[in-house]
Amino acid sequence: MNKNIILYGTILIFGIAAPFIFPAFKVQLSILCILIILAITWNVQGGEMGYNTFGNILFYGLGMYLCASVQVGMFFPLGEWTEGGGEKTFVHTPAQFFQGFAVGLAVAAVVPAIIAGLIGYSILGLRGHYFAICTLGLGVAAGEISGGIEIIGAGQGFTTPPFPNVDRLEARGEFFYFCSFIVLVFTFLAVKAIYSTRFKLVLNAIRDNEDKAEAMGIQTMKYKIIGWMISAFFCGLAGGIMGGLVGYIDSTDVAFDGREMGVFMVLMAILGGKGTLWGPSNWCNFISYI
Amino acid sequence: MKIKNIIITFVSAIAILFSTSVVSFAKVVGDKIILGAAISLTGKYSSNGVHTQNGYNMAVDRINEMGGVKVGGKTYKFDIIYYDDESNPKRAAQLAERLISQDGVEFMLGPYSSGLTKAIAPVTEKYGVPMVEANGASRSLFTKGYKYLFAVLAPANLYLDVAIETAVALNGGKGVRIAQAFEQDAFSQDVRLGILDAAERTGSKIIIDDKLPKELNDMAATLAKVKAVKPDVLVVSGHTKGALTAIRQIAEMKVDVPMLAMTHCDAAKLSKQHGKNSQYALCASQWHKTLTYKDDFFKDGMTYAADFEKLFGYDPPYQSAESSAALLVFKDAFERANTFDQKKVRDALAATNMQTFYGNIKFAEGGQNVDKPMVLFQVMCDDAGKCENKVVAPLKWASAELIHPIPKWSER
Repeated sequence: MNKNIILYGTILIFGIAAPFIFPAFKVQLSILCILIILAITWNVQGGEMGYNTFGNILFYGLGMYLCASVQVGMFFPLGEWTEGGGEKTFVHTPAQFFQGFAVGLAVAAVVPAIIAGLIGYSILGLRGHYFAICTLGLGVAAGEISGGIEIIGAGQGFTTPPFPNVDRLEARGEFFYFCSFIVLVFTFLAVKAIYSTRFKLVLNAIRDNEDKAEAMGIQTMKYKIIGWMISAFFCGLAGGIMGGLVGYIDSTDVAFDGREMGVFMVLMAILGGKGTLWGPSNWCNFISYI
Repeated sequence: MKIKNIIITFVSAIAILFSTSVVSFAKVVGDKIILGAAISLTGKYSSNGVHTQNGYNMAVDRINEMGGVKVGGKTYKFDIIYYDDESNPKRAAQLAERLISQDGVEFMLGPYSSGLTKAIAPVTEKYGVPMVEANGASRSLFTKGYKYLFAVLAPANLYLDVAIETAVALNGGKGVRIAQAFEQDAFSQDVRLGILDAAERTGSKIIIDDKLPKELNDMAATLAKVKAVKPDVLVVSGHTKGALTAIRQIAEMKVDVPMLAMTHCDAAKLSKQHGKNSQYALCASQWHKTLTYKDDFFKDGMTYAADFEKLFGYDPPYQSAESSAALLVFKDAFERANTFDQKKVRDALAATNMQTFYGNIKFAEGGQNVDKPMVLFQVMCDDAGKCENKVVAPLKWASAELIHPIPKWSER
């Protein structure tokens, strides 16, 4: 136990110091944090529960669009911001920017979780390959649909609010790094806490033999939905931060980027070791380095 | 076991970070001005990315050969650091960050396509890095209040409205029926806005308005509709792939329409790839080699085209020409600013007013070039099947007369 505390402490200190030790790598470090969040949360239902999904990219993209929309929509008419030929220029004051971002992140976490509940209710009855294939369609469909919605920029893409001018060049990078790092710590602790409860055993029971679990009186459907909602919650958060970090949201290439982020999160969890907490994180480091 | 894992992770992470954290400060080294560019060398924009890169390289070589850039009494040579952005906006933004904060680049050249430029512009703006871009035409780029973004090209909404106006004029001033299909990306959607404006102005009606997916490989559904409702004009835009797909399927399905207006015909090498099938297609272009603009480096369009073909083995599309022009603009601005101070170079860029082989260049407040009209050319083939692009509008530059309406497939 003592050893663990030292270890976590070191990692925490390193995480806090990293952007100052490697100032040129802030963006990469932020993306690393985001990748770890995605992989850890994919592992909740992909690894522990045995329900392989390619659909988590849906929540990531949703979070991205929601966060940016709320951030803009709270202060300016969203339709005019995203309008293709928009002739107007809107500028957020620093206070507006941070308030909007905070509210945006909250929405970006909660709404995908609710949507995961709704979708989960209808498709978590599918098992094995059938579930994987069904979720594969989710991200692709979301990309095409969002590419047709005018209010979020459609095919034009959505430029997220530029970071307010606060006289420090490094402020933007540091802000987004710490956002993603804090969310990462939060995610890690949350998932670790969840794994120490009976909930994890239920998920494992579902993975090992769903019928038997049901026969033992576990309402598997309920647990499956909750498991997926947890993933969605953190994926949404990660997406919201990533949107602000990239600065430009494109429906298929940035938000519902199933080909890259969608595959990465699965790959990292599988390569690192399904059903472990550290495995996915290790492989994130490796992949993001490549 | 667990602890061991953690330690390995931790150590390897640190090792990795240290191994890559050697920051080189490039900017202006010795007698070199180092520019940075993220270019699509792979992915869906790869062919246009290469056109862009060829344009940049040719201009760099030419300027260096002809004496380089004179700043503060010293002669400098251009050099470009390229990264492949995989046609992905997220990657492009990351690479811009990398070029500026890791490689220390202080001046940037643009990527290919509006979407990628949109992703990079916030980054260059943040660091105050002047960027001259040659391939991001979307109007929304110029309304965001960017101060360090300069585009040598005319905005995308002006691409094809000339075609609609021509069609209306040929129709005796009465409105025409337009069918249109655009890829879902920033550039093509902007072309669409231009058509909507033109339609409203001329009292034309839009009877088909389709959105096509990215990675455009099939538009048979749209064409089937076109066959059924017989519009007067068919407008298609979707980068290189859109142009190729449209011509291939129009020929396959023998779709008859009086006017076919497109973008990217020259970048797609339509006349070479599809020969006579591409005949009569009307294309929007930022530049054509027969235009009579002049400068000291490339002389004129014809000379540029000949030199380009000698180097790269194909006729230069406008994407290459505008990319070369971007370098000329940079050189001009450096010499007028007579310093490498980013703010002063930026001001010099804003005050640009010059002629290049590619056209006149003068930037508006938003950074777009307002001194250069678009041209329309038509693919024309002789009996032997040799096809050429000939400028048909505006009349000042026209080298051939517009063939209208397009003859039916049964009569070709």
